[in-house]
Amino acid sequence: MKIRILRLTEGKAEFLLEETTPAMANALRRAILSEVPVMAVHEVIFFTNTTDYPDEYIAHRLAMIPIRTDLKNYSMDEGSVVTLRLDKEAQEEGVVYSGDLESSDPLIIPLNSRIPIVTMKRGQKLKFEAIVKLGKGKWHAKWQPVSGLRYSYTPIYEVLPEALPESCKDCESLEKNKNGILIIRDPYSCPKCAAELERMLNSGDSRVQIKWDATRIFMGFESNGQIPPFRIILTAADELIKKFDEFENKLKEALSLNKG
Amino acid sequence: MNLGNSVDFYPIVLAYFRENSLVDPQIKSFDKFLEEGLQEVIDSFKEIELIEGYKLILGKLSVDKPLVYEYDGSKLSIYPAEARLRDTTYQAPIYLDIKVYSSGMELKTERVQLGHLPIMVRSKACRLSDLGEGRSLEDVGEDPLDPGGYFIINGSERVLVIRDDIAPNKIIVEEARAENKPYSHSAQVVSEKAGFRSRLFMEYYLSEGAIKASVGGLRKVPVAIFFKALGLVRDSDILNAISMNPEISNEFLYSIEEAQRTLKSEGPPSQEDALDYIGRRLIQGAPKRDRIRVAKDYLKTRFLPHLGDKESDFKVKAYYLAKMIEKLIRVVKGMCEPDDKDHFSNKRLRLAGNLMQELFRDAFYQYIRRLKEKADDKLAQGVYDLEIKKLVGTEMYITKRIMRSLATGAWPRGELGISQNLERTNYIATIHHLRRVNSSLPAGLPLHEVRQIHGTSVGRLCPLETPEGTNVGLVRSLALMANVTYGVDASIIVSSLLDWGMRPIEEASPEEVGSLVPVYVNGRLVGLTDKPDGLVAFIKERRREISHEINVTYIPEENTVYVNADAGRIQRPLIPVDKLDEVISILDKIKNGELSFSELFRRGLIELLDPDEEESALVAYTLEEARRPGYTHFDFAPYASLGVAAGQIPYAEHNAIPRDIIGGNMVRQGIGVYATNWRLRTDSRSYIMFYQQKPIVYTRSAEIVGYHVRPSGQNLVVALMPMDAYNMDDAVVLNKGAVDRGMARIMTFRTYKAAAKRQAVIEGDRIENPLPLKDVVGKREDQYYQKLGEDGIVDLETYVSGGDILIGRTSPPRFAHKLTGTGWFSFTFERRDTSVPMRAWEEGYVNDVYLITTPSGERLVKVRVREVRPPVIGDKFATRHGQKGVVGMVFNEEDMPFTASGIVPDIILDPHAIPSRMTIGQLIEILAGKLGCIKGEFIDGTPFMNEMVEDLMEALRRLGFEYGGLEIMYDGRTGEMIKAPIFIGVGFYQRLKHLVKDKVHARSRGQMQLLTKQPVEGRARGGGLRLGEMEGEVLISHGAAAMLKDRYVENSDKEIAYICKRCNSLAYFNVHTNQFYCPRCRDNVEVYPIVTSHASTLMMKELMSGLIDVRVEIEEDL
Repeated sequence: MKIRILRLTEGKAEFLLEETTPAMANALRRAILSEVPVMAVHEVIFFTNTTDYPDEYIAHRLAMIPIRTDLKNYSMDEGSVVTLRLDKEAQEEGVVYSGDLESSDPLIIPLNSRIPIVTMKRGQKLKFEAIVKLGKGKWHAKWQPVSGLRYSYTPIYEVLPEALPESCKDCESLEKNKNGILIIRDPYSCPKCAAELERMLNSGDSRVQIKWDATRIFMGFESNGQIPPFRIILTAADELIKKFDEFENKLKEALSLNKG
Repeated sequence: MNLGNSVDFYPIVLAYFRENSLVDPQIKSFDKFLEEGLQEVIDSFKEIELIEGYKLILGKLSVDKPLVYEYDGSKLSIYPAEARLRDTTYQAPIYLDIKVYSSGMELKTERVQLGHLPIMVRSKACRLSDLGEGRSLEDVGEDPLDPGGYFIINGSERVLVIRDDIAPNKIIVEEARAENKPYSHSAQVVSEKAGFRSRLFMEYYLSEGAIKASVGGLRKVPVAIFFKALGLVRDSDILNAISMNPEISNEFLYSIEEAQRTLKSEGPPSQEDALDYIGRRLIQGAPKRDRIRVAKDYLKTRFLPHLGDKESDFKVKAYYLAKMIEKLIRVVKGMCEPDDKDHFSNKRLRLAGNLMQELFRDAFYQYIRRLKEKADDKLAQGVYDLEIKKLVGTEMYITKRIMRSLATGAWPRGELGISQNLERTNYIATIHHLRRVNSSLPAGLPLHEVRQIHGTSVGRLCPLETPEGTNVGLVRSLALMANVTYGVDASIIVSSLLDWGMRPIEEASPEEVGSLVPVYVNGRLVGLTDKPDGLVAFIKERRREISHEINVTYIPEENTVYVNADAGRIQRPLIPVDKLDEVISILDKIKNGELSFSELFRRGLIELLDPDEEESALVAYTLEEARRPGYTHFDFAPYASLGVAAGQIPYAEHNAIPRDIIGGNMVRQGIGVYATNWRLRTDSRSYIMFYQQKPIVYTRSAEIVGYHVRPSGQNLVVALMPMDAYNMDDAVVLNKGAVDRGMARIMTFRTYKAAAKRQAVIEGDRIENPLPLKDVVGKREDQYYQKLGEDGIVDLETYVSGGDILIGRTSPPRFAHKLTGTGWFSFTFERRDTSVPMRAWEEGYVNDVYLITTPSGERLVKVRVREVRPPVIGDKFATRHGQKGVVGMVFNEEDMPFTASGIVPDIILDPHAIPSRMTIGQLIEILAGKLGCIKGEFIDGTPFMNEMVEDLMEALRRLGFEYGGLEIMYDGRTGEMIKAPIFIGVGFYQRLKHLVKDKVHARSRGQMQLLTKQPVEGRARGGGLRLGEMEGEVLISHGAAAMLKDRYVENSDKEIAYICKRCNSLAYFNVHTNQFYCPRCRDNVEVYPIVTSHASTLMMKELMSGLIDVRVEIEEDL
């Protein structure tokens, strides 16, 4: 399997897996979505809540706040937690934002300080402790590290020469087969032409045909911000390896038991 | 379907709703009742003659603002929120000035409080209509968008549901269709004046041409006698008054002869002869003078009362009778069609104001009757200083009667279900309930015609909103722009008609009546004209200055002009085609509010047609149609002919009708925010959705009704594909990721109540924890009391579940003999535990605890328990298109199918739900929703006016998407591409209030009924699931005998009966002697033990108690 990084920024990653299978690519996709641990509010202890919103409502909103995650100093163990505190009596009508939360670890804080949590009217009180824990996306969506996880087989466009859009005439990635049909095998090298052909395809233009290459699978995602994209991919891969290791160990164990 | 009108008349609709509210039929009619209806009832009694020359004259009635009388005697003002919370009634005192006269001399004027009148919320007498400076509705605990239009009776909101009824004062001629009727045609009129009704019924006998009339106790009187009794004596006059056309009047010759024969007079019968005949029919054995007086009185008050109650009105009554006969003969001769009872011009709505008037009349009548009795008693005793206040308790006679009817829904005329608990599932449900129209006909009858949609109901009642089943077509609801009339004073119309040159009926000769066109105003014959078209044109012009409620029509077949200004008609706003261009040119002015709707009416640019007037109109739906000859009016808002619930369905005209009906009904069950003051309300059951959304694909009705600010659903990403059979048969598959993020998340509330009742002598109920108390009996196990606080009530935010006591309460013994005391003064009780437990199977957190003192001084505790319920397998979801389904599976997000761009559907539907139900509108909605999401816009899906599918597709195509909404998707578990492209988009979904958690039920062992020893019924009691007749048959046909026996005997009321070997009757086992005893043989005996059911032995015993002997023959070898 080869990996071609198409884009890797602070928030986004796009890459192409080549010489692969859907099973392999999908294993990675699923691992990213459900196995990479990030931090989120897991438990909220309310001391006072005289707002118009019930505890469950506020707790659910807290859980949805993405929180900067430190995978080195924290683990999934029982006591490895951070607490976010709020103790507020509203002097006037206003909104409590994620930035108002006080963290027990100054590095583990909400990624965005302007996420509204709850509206308070004058004189209302709210005091709680939110316990932040590491968790996995397979347990609850709040622990998912990514959004918009893209995944696609590579399209191979076949287009009749006369239908080729003007802008694509000089494209380097064009090939011609023996029947004289133009082929784009690697749409990622020229995204503009690919988009143009895709548009023709969606309009029902029969002069463009599409085929799918399941050995080259494109993936891309946007990190929710808790951990950077490359860390997400690496952790996902680690988690996969751990699973195979575990499988290997279990298998060996079973085989040895069988012998005995 | 888009009607393709290039001009958008929406500003007119908005202008209409700037002036009119959706609940006007409730509020305006109640206001009218307060202003006029109440006084009308008082005035109809006017004077009360007492003995000794005393007389009471009833004066002005006045209504105060709502008050509450506290236990300490203080009188405080009350707002609706407090009435709801304290389980009290929102009512205001009413006062009446009564003058006492003695032999013509006024003695005094007394102001009597006539008890209390429940006040409609947001009516003129309601405190919310006049809050005072700087106070908002929120300040007094109301939702500013709450429509009002209901009453608060003992804390619960009650609606007076609008009824439709046959129109009074309208001549209806019908063919007798039933074969058992001796007559062939009939004409009838229900004459009504100030709530008093009298029905005049005429029968026409085809064989000889006789016409007989019945009114009240007078049955089948030859109708010509009435003419003579009313003073139209000469036969030629009668014939001429009926019609100058001999073809018609000759039909009446037989009736004239018949009258002659019946009266048996020598020579031509006189008025006296006729009156004498009627008098004879009314009373027996009275002298002639009395007979004539009685007959005259009868004709004055009981005969066609809407035409007047004086002798001078006899002439008009005779002419009216003549016109009635003319119409009957016209129908008989086939000159015009018989009337259609289902035609809307023959129907009137009875609104809250009318219903309250009926109720008040009944209560006031009882009060006056009692007052007269008491006053006469006093006067007879020689007490001449009458104190009216002290004679009769008004609370008893007026307040309680009105309250009882409003609380139970039973009305004086014996109608049931008039008042109902206001639906508060969501905002639409509330408004829909306030606009519902119930038929006065009973359900269950196989009435076909009345249930069908009548052509005249277009734009008046919604064609879609009706329940399925027995009530189909009988329960309807007002269309969005249906304009209900509240009644205008007819005298202005009559006087302007006379000014115009109408011949007044009082001055008309019989010949004129028979030749000119009669003019009816509100069903009263007021005059004649020879220029009916001119009169119609005049009224149409004149009404613009008087009221939009006036309608006029000339019906050539009947040769009659009808002018209507009465209450209870439904009008429909339309643009006259000749004014269409003018309207189009000023649309901008209407839009920015320069021109109001009433101004449009005054300028004649809008007309409101009632069903009568619409008979002479032809309505165009497209501008192109409107330009064609023949059309008179243009319907500028066809979507406004749907009701408030069905109006929420986008692209409704693309769906199969039955699905729209179901969709309209389910819109009322979606969970949203039913009122923004839900935190302050104590509804016994309520639901609130966490994150409601305004639908991306909306309708104009939604905008007008307020669905955009009180929505009840969410826009979900919908994919149409089978999902491992977890969504077959209308199930849906949900994405767990979406559920985690709060999709369709709701909280449920239930309020538990406990009142500490006072008792006369002994101490009443106490709110306390019964657990530590020694002398309290009937306690449950200790564990259930652990959550009670020191005051005997659960604390806030405590987790409570099934069986936990929420409010601890002890009550004194129910019967005196339970008192276990020694001396008279030293009571010691065994008090009972009457604590309020949490319902079995329910759980949650205590949201509120209310400690209330009711106006009667009792302590009332309300505990409100909250539970958050994310969607789970079994919960019901539905779109607005009647596509409902339960959750079949919740998949982890990584297992769900996804698109190349990583879109994971929130909900997956089975494509099989579409073809057989033909809900094309839903497909268009999903497509439009997808486009709206991509473009970041809301899409208008208003029926008949929406964006066309082709345009939506083109827009999608231009944005680079597949135009049909299809996308390539991948299986989340294998990563493989799904072979077919999947239709995916965004649709609006509602979570309906039917939650599995409220319905799941199973039983292994449990309670048995006391009498039959069979398992009890119902989930609340942990009852069994009945293996019924049909289920039993199934087991029989399978030969599953052991199963049958297990269900019907072992797990039911198995019993071993002992049959005496000597006499074959029932014996029993005596545990004291350890022997079997036969009561019949009066001896210890040998028995056959037989396995049977308790039900059968019970029957044997019951038969024996009824002196029927029962023996059981048993074959020995069994």
